[in-house]
Amino acid sequence: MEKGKWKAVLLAIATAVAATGCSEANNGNANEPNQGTATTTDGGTSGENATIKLSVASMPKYPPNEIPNDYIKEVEKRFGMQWNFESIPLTAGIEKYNVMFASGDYPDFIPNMNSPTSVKKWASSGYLLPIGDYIDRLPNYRKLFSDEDWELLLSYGSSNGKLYMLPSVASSDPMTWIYRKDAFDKAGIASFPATMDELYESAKKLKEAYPASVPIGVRGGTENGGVKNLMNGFRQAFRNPQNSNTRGFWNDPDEGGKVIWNLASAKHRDMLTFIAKLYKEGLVEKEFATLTQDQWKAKRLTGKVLLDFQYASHTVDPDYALTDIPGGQWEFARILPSASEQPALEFKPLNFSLFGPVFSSKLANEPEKLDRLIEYVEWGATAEGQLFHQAGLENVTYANEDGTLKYKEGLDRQKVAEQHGFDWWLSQSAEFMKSDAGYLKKQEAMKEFAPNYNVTPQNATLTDEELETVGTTVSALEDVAFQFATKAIMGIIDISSDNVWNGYLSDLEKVGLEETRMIYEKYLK
Amino acid sequence: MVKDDSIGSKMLDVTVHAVMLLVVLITLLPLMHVVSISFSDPDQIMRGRVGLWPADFSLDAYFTILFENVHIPRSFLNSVVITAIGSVLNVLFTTITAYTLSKKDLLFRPFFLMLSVLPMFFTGGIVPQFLLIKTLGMMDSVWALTVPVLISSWWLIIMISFFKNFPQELEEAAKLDGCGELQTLIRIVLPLSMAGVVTIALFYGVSHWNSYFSAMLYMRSYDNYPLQLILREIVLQSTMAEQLASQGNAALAEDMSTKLTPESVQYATLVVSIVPMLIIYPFIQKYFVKGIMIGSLKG
Repeated sequence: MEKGKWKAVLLAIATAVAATGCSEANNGNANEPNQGTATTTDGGTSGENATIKLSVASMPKYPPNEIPNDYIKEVEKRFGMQWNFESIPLTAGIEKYNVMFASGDYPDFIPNMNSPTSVKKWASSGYLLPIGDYIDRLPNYRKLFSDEDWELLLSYGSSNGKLYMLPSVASSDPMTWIYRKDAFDKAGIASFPATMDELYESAKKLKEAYPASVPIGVRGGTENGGVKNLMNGFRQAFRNPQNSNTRGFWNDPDEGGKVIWNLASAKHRDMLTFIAKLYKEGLVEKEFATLTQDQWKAKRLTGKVLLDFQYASHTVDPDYALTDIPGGQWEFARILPSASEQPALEFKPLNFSLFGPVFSSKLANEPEKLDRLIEYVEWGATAEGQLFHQAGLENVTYANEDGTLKYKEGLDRQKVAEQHGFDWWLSQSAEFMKSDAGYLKKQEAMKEFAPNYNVTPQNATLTDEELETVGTTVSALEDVAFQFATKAIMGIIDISSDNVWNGYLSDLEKVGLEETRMIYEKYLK
Repeated sequence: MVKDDSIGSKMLDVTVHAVMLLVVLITLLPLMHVVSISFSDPDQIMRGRVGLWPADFSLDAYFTILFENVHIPRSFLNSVVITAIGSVLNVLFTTITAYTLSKKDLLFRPFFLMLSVLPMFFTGGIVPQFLLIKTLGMMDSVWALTVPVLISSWWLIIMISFFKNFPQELEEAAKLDGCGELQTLIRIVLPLSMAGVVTIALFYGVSHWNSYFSAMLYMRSYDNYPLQLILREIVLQSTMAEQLASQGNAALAEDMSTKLTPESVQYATLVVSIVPMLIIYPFIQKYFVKGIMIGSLKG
């Protein structure tokens, strides 16, 4: 009896455990229990067309609640595909993709890959299809970019001379000084300062009018985020702009086009001297080095910040609305003030973003699958496709209200993405966005701010080995530079001392500044 | 025990208590802050007005994670299932293996012991394990998170040591009364080894509860994600925005940094993830105190 009881208990546990595990094993595992990749005949919506089975991994910002969802079902129906779909969101990190590629068990298609360095690595390992070779079959996609932008895109997005991903159209939002118009009026400042001296004088007036506030706020951040954000507002004025893609190395026109690192130039020293003066007089955020983004936002909302170097669209962003401050109003500066008689320098923003579809190299031998995907991408680039991805389905996720397209009641971008799977892809839909204040503000700002962009950014297509050297060395160089900048601004070290400055340059040389500069010199002509 | 009433002793007592109080405060204050944020109004949090007590007490964050965010309740249940199944299997396999390996007359015992210890120094690597899990058809199932970690070499060695010190006479008496090896283990050895068993169960349980990396690799659908993976994603959203910005991807960075999960919801999720362990711990503390001494004395 005792033996029988024990056996029964063990059997029950084993059965329960097995049942739980097995039910989970297939729970939500795409819409296709069998992960095969064969071609079958679909007797459903696509009529005579053969249904193509594909494995798809997606990197969404907002992971879907259910798979399959309306987006997957609709794409499958329209293009005769059957997706074995897996969602690996942006925040899940790149590790899973790396393991999948390294194991050879990788998807046929990733519609929204957002890791240019990983794409480069996978491309050189032979995992990805050089989709640029098929661009003639993607005329609608190609039309999303001007010839000039396309050339720039190829220079930025190519690996070993080939394009392995299809970048998306970036809706650029110019970074400029945004300022409290009401505070400027109260302080008697008629127009936005055109020079650094005027900016300094304006900051002093603001301080007098608003003693409890900091005239110049700084968006905080982790590690060296604070000092980086602080310097971002002044680099252009000192004709020493930052190109993140080349990690700050650029051809300085004031040095006859010589390749220099912007954090090691004499202009950088002048800039630090100027910011240190602002800091000493309490005109800039005192806690810039330790402030978090949330604390910065809190200061903005409570009126503690009167000037901030930010995205122009922040002036109409409801998240930054000055609801607690009667009459509080943000405005963006149409000009970049200069520190000299020469105009400020700023890089032209890229009109593309290295975020978009990548295709498995296996597709080269599977033309049917590739054809179907190309057809889908090509449609996705049309106005209809853009609206479909961004807004979803009419009367399901969005409605047409007297000519204005809006998400349906109770829905927004996040909810539509989570509940239905739709989110903008390749390009935002101009038709849908025409009622969005932030989008319109970005467009307005880009148009008005365009004359300030007077430097075309260059890309350096480094080899893998150079990329590794640069990655390690520049991170170390930046650590030295940001620590030095923080100390200089806070007055812990005397930036006017030649010994201090030369010591800094000497430290950078020890870390490998010249070696890195030589690497970039090969590419930046 | 002689009571020492000297001033020096009293001073020492005061110092020890003061230091311990300080340690308690250092441990408790951040936790109180986390709890207080989770119960505060998001607007007050944004304005930096929350300290150790909630500002504008609000249950909105908990309402959001329990009723609006479908991922968190489901992932919580997933974590409970993974932890329960994983821990039961861990304890089952670890005790059976340890009991067997504790027997000196086991054939090829040194070889089996070596095999058991080997994974402490060498592992198969992530990619081979990924392929193995896939080939075995365990992807997206609880088995992928429990089977590869059935036995921890560390806890196995501890349990072997524990069983070695178990009085031989009790086992012999059980056998004289007609018990086989399995019956002796289940009826005699295990009930008298609860301190050790509960201790390793706790450690296994905590390990399963906190684990996210395996789930990230092997779970395909959001429905099966454990709580820690969801929590990691929520917390990483802001870091990701900064990374994108440093890569020059300003538009995406700004896109990422807007509509972040509200801080109150982040903290409420943290609280929810801590609570089960806080609840379980007092119930097994009596075993834990005994069990932690396992193997510390011999003879």
